Amino acid sequence: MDTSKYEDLFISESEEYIEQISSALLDLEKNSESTESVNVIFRAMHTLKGMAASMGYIEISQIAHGLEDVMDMIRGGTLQLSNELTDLLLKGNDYIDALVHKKNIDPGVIKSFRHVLESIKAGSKAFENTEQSKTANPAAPKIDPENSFTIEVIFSDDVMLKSARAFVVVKAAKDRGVFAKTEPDMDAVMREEFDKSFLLCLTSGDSANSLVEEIKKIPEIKDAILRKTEKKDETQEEKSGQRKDIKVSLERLDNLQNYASELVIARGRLQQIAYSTQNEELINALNSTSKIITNIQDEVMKIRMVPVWQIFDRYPRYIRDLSNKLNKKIDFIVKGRDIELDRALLNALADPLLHLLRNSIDHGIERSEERRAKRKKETGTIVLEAKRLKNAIIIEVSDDGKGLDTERILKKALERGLISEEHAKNLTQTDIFHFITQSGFSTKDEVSDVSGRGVGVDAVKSVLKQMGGSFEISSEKDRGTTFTLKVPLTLAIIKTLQVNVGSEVYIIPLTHIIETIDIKDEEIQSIMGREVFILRDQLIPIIRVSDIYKVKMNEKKTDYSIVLVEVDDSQYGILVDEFVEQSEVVVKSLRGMLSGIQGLAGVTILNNGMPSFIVDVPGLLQMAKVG
Amino acid sequence: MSTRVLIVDDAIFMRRMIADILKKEGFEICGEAGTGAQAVTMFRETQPDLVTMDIIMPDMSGIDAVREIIKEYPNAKILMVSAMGQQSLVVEAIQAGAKDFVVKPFQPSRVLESVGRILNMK
Repeated sequence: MDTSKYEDLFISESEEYIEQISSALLDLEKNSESTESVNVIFRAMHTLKGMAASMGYIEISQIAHGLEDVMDMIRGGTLQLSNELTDLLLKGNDYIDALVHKKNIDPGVIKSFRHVLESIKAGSKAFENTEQSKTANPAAPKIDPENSFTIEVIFSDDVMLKSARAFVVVKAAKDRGVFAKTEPDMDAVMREEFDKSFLLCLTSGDSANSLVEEIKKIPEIKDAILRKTEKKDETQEEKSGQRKDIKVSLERLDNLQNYASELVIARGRLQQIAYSTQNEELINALNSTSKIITNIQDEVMKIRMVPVWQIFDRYPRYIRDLSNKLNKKIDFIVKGRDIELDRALLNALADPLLHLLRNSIDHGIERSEERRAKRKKETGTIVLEAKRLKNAIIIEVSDDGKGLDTERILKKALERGLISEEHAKNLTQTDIFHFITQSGFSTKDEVSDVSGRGVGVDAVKSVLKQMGGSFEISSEKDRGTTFTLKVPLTLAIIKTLQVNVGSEVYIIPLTHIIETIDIKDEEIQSIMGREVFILRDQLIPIIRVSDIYKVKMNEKKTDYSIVLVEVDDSQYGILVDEFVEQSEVVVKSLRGMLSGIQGLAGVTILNNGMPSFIVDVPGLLQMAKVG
Repeated sequence: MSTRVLIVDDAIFMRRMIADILKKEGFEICGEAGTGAQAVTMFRETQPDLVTMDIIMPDMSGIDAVREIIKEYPNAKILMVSAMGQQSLVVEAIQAGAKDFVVKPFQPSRVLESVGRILNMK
């Protein structure tokens, strides 16, 4: 569509909205309670978003969209308006103003602004009010098995607002009085937990054909296919299943995986030889073999991958029972249930997750009376979410309960002599939360028969450490607690960076690494007895691997390498002599005497056949803080 | 007689765009409204064959306007035209009696497809 003729109108009307927004923001600064101002800004952003999108101005539309969401969260009470936030909104409005008038803005500035908006949204996601999950599903009408029909509704590839579109389809069936249910169920359909099609089950075949014709006419519907629901014939299903799948014992799969892993190590050794002898022919032959090995490894890994719902789907029932028992009202929301994870990892996570959920129900979510008194929604919300990052999977358990009691934790830590009074003053919130991950630490005075004592958060942490993952806690008083579990995609092979410290080689998993930096002696500064360096105007604490593991660094050198890592939202620079290479390594767990060592996650065999330790990054940082 | 359409959107810009698309196909624009309340009043006055309705507007939302209109005129044909990101509101509007929806930014053909479908409904 040619939009150029609308340009002038777009600019002049946008100016009005931009003006509305800035004056409403000024009102808000004077009176932060003004819901009308909040509404005005929300609507104006929404309108700007739609207008800009219609003109094809994606940047404006995206910024307006981000700000609209932020305003929506303020309206919904999941986000508090602060001075910083007002500044941010003003800034966003200025960007929109500049973009509307075609002024140049550095794309990097816009990008980082959007990043800030995203992080605000992500930060309060835990409190998201998912109204849709509550859409009541009234008792499904009876389906006459002899006369039951199903319509497979297939969406076109460019469908927008899939759930709303599905709702239009369902309504067509409801209007004819033949709607029975959908597959997946209506809640899942409304959460868009289906790909390009869903099944519409009918109570009778009357008028089914005309319904199909009607559905086909609905925009963005590619096709609708009517089927008579067949009686489930178990034996037949099994037979047809056998044709496609065969059962393999887990043991065999493990063996296959081990061989694939060994193959990766062998390849590394061969590559090293090939490159050191500069034998072109060998290098070429090896390159093609290498691709095949990667494919084998990928396939073996995929065989081991299972969707997280295999574990996640066990919890709703448990949570309902437990919340009834404790007389608490809880909405349990599961997100990302189709994300896949190594079977062994997932199984190992089942109990820790259950423990965290139990914790949230028992200690996190308050009783209705208490919540009412705090002016919170009477029903608490617990969200279990799996997300996929590039090299890791994040699993989050978050609740909108009372949050962790930092004072109480600190008191307990002092009582137990875990820290001195002196030290206690300098602790950050994150430091304090870390105490509850220490063995046997519990602040609950009476032992509850639900969460109990003993198998605590410490057990969760140690399971994650064994996996080469990490465990983080964030919590805010009366807003809730989020436990974040970061796990590698698979147990067996992880992507890592090899570093040299003196004569030692250490392996750092890429899961935690943000970037690598070269640094000179004079760039290292000392502030209050701690070594730091400045990176993009930020002070980053330096941690010397040589101090922690008591090894000697290369003494004659004046330039070093820094591995920038992030844990608990803070960045640290791990100082090493030099980087060797990025590589995939096969993790062997530490057993026996070595198993309890803090700061080490496991061991691997290097390409040259020598063993080397894999660094447990969160553990290493913890040691550095205490030391 | 040509089909008469009432266009409801708080942005003049959007109203102009929608009006242009429909006029080109021979529709008659019998009125434009910028708020939900105006929409209800104008519906009574003009009795259009079709309404295109924005959702988020000052004064009265598009959803409430749909409810008001459907209460008085159960056979009113209303097409929701809404920006991305408010899908629960779209569902609510359909529940309230709107016949279909289009998401901004839209292709003219997509608007016409929905309009055609709605007008053919009994």
